[in-house]
Amino acid sequence: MEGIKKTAYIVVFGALWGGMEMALGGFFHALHIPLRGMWMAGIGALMLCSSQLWIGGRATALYVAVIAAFLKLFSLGGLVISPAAASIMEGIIASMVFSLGKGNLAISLAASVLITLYTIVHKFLSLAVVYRQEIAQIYDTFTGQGSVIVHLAGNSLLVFFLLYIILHIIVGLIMGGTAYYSVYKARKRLSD
Amino acid sequence: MRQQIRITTKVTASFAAVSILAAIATPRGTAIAAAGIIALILLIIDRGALYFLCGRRFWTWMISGMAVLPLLGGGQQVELLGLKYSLETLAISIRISSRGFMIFTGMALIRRHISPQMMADVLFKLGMRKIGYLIPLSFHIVPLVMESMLNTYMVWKHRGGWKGKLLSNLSLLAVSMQVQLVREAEDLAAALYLNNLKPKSHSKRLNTLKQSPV
Repeated sequence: MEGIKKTAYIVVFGALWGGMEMALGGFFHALHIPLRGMWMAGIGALMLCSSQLWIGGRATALYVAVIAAFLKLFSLGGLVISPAAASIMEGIIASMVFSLGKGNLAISLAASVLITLYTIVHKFLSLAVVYRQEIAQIYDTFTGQGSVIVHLAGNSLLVFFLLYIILHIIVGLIMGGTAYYSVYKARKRLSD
Repeated sequence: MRQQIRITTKVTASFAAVSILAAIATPRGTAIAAAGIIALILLIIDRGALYFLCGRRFWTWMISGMAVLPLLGGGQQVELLGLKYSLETLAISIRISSRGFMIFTGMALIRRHISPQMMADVLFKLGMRKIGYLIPLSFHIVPLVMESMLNTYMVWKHRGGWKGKLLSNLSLLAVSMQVQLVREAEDLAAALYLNNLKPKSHSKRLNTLKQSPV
């Protein structure tokens, strides 16, 4: 896909993801929904994989992510730099994975899983790079008052982190699979 | 046709009065009071922007959302008709709605008074050449795409939705949304093509998106 048609597709996908980030992201944040980063990354993975599967080409997902990040700045939760940065990083990940091969199911699943797993890394990255916190301070942030981690020790902590990662992988797989399946079916429906 | 609430001075003044009272009654209520005051200012300077927020569906969703969310619990609770009602969550949901009101009003104002072309020119001057036309276009198209997706969801819900085979119904929803998204993109592409635009003339391209009434 090239030219104006490509522009139109990127704009529509970016606008939908940005709109959802704007409305749902702020809503989840205000209500303190648990694992909200993972849910929002799941939606992002669905949108990025769908746009890349429909449009193809290099850096398509990145453009979609940039639009979403811009719209995210108008979020209900106020000015939010970190989720906007996360959207762009997710776009970069999707672009990189999709550049490895044609848009097939395996690539779609891999991209989606990596996008959802990135939410785990993003928290550390934003604290360390943006807020310039030391490792000890980051540890304190995570084990602060009310955190479940503080009550766990040894093996339980390991099991907790494993389950946490597995949950992210499952959400990534579901979203990647849904993106591939729905695009495939929609293509079939439109060509009929 | 979209049902609308008639904008009168009385309606807006009542909304402003209610929002200011709600701001006094809830902690950290600056945003709530601001929503009412902004509505009053808009009534004077740009009544058209207010029409964007006056669909009955918008208000039904907002008020029912505010009423239902406190049932999720959290913090201090009161009992109403045997149901536990959280006052803190009520305050949070009023704050979210007020922020939503302000953001959507801001977007309506920008969409009414700043054309995509003007936005693109500013972005180009800032050096954002590649995304200089993507951002203004997307900004103007967000409400259309969101409404289109909401309509797809409503049709899906009307035709069974959450009842029956949930998994197959959900996959049907995902496919319908993809189809609708592609149709929206094709419509936008057609609108851009119809004006015989050359790929590099970004300003001309953006001219095709006429300023919408809201």
